[in-house]
Amino acid sequence: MSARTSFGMAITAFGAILCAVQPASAHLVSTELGPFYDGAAHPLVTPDDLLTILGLAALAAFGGPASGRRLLVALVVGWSVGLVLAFGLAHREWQAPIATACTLLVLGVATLLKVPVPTLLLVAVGAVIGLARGALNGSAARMADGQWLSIVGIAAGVFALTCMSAALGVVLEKRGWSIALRVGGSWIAAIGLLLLGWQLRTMLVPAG
Amino acid sequence: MHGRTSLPPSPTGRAPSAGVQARAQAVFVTAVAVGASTPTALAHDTGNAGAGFVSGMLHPVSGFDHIAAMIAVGVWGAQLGRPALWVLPVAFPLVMAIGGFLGLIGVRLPGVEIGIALSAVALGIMVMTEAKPVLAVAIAMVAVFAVFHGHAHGTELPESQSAIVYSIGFVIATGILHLVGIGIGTIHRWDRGRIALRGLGGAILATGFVFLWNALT
Repeated sequence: MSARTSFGMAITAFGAILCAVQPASAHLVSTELGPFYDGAAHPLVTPDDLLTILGLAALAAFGGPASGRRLLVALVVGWSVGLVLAFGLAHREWQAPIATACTLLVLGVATLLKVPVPTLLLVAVGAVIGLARGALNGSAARMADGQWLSIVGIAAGVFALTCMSAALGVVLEKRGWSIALRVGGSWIAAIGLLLLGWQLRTMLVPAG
Repeated sequence: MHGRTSLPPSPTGRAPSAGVQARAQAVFVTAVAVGASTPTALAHDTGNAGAGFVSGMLHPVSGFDHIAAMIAVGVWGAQLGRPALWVLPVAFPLVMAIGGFLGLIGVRLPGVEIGIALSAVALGIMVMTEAKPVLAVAIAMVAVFAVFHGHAHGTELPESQSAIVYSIGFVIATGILHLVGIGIGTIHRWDRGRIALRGLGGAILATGFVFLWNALT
């Protein structure tokens, strides 16, 4: 798959994120440890965010440590910008389930096929995904408790999770266990596809 | 593990280590336990499955026809060796998700139960005969059957509050079944293990015929 094709696929998925945003009920899992830790736990306990980060980290791992470090910066910066913007501007919580499903599907297939994504493209994709996911998280945090510490915690959680998963991916890749990453990619793609079907069912198949 | 006797050496003449034997036995016991504790429903949701991870995990193991086929895929992959060892278990969940997607959006697929039963028959034959076709043929065969399995699941998935958590449980359970199959298949390195796997293939074939009979009558 050429870089242009993969870029087109990525743009399609991310365009969907911007177009398919819909309101949802506010939520932020309570850890009983305060807003910072509520936010820090958010990427870990939110499957959409967790799988997105794991998929990106696996793709970065194929490119080596340098690729992982650049993704880390791009993703966290994008995520933080999205968090701040949405936290300041949102008047309701946003969700984008179809766009999330498409993103997981694209990331999963790219990981499964071990697509050689250029570092620059990976950084751009990571920043855009981070911006979108951060905006979704920021709106959730605004509606949940409205405390700045929550979004600081989310950014910290994203940093830690991306750092650890990319590092683990690099180690697996270097030790010849890239097959584990590819299997993980196939699982993420399968989850994305099922999630997409699930969302489309509510639109295509009449209830009952 | 007391009183364990050494298994025969592999065809290469290298005796398997105690650790490998212990792991193979542990996987086999786990697989037997999973099989013995599974109800004999035919890939239909039990009706009380609600939203969530556990519900998603339970769905793939709710029917022995699915379990037999998915374990057979893992065993066959182990018999074929690399790269089929990992290609088949990777292909199956992904294509099964395609079938699930079709089922979820309401696309009708004729003869789903027959296709599922035939998958057990065909995979049972492959395992029993230790068939080693070209990799592309093996992938195509597994993929075709995976569509039927996925479609059956897709049409029966319950309405859920958390589709993604359910999907995660569903995919992980499918992957675990394949890993169990691969684990069982590790005994392929021993002569007695090969015989046991052939016997397992025969058992899967026999159950496949039962499923086929039920699907046709």
